[in-house]
Amino acid sequence: MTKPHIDITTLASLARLAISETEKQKLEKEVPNILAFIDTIQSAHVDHTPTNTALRNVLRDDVQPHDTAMFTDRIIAEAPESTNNRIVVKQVVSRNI
Amino acid sequence: MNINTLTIVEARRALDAHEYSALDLTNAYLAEIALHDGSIHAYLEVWIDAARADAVRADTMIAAGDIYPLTGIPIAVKDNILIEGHIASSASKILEKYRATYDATVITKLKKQGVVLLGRTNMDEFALGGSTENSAYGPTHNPHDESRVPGGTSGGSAAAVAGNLALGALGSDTGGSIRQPAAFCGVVGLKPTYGNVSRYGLMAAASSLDQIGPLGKTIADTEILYSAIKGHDPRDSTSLPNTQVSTTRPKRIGVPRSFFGKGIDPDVLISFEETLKKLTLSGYEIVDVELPNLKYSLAVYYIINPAEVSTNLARYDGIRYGHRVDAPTILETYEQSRAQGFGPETRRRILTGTFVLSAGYSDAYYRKARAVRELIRKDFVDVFTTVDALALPTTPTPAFKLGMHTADPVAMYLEDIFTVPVNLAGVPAISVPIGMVNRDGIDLPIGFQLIAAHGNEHTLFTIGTSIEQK
Repeated sequence: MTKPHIDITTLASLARLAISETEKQKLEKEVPNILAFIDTIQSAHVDHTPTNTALRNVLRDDVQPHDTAMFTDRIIAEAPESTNNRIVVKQVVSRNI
Repeated sequence: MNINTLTIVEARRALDAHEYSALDLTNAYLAEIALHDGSIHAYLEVWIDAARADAVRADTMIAAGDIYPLTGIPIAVKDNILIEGHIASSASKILEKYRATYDATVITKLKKQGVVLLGRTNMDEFALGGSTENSAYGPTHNPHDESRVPGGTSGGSAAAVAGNLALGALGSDTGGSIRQPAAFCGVVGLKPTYGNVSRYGLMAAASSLDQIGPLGKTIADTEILYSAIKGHDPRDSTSLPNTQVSTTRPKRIGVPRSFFGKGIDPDVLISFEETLKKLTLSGYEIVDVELPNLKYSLAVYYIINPAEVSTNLARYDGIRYGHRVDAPTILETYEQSRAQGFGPETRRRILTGTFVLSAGYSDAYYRKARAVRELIRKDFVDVFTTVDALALPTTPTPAFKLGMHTADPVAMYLEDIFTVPVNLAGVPAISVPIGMVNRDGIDLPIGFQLIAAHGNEHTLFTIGTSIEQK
């Protein structure tokens, strides 16, 4: 296949990752090297892919797994910011789009 | 007690014979850690008081005759396995202060046996690497030569066992992260069958590849640890039902020689061939085998691993737990918390994973890799209809120098060539020490890898014991 165009800024934004200009320049060299390394896969023939018949969905029983609020205090204690048993989050929806 | 030659089996005998107490044993290890871990840095944290409390509890159990194989045995645990109340950071800055809110299933099982938990061991951040140099808290040094890496990602666990800083350890293996450090440090390391050990409470790196497993000084010790942690767990949907395992004595061992390539160290190859000869003398039949799709393993692995890592690590966003950077908007909070919290290799994997999953490229990379992975898995299933086990060197070289591969990510990935196929296929494998090679006047251990069919850990222990007894 043709050499893919790697846009580090777009990838970083998709991955919710701030990157500095210096790191961006480094990654613009490294990521294509990694892709060249994994490109041998393109020469593999997969006309008749065997299916893994052992794979199946596993769901737990639809019951209450533990008592309500059993872990709440411990989990809230891990949040960077909390108030009245709630985790504090920045405003998600903004008027200025 | 001689801590340098002590095994779990011997400690069990001595504890039960009241030659020393579990507290004496734990104190001996704590003293050894205080003396030597400053230069090895196997541990990120040692739980001195909690370990002594575990030991006192074990002594009460022993006095009451409530004895299990691991009662009073001091072990170390990799920093990505949750133990309630203790910090579990995956050697990352983003989880520097994260305290586990529950026990992993493997920990629940070990606690029931009255084990002593000495501390949490160093690793490559989020189990991404092959040298423990990607830890946010500085590298671990190989106890055989402190200028060399212990391997990774479970480098702290392997160095703790090899350096006599724990009697055994738990690690996790996504592409060789138990077997490769075991080989570099001269201990035994087992990657169990995918699904045979619960991963409830293991921080996910690449979910279709990750597996918890034990490291020990001997096959017997490793088997004791494995027996303690294995079994079906309803809390892990990928956990396999308990089934009767085959106990037939293995006879035929296959060697995929055409896969060895040219990058293998001549001394490693000589030791490998010598071990095969000795296995022939012990009555095993050695045959050449072909696994035609093995050559794609590294490429498949380095597509599937980053893809799953980028997805799994999306949960570290600075909102519910972990490091948060206060920024004007929620998007900047995510972006900056993750930028500050993750190290360079983690960021690289996330971006590579985002690329191979992105629209326009996912068919050529991720979906293709999944299809080729099935071919590799089928190669293994097919080969195990003709042989009982496969033999390969664990690594192409002995432990390399610290800093040797840090500037070149692809060179670091190539170190995994012999270990990643096992995770892609989900089969069990073990690394057994087979001797030393001399580098710069220092003897460095090398490992012999045995691979068996799904569920046949027993085969690995049997052949491994034959290698030990040679």
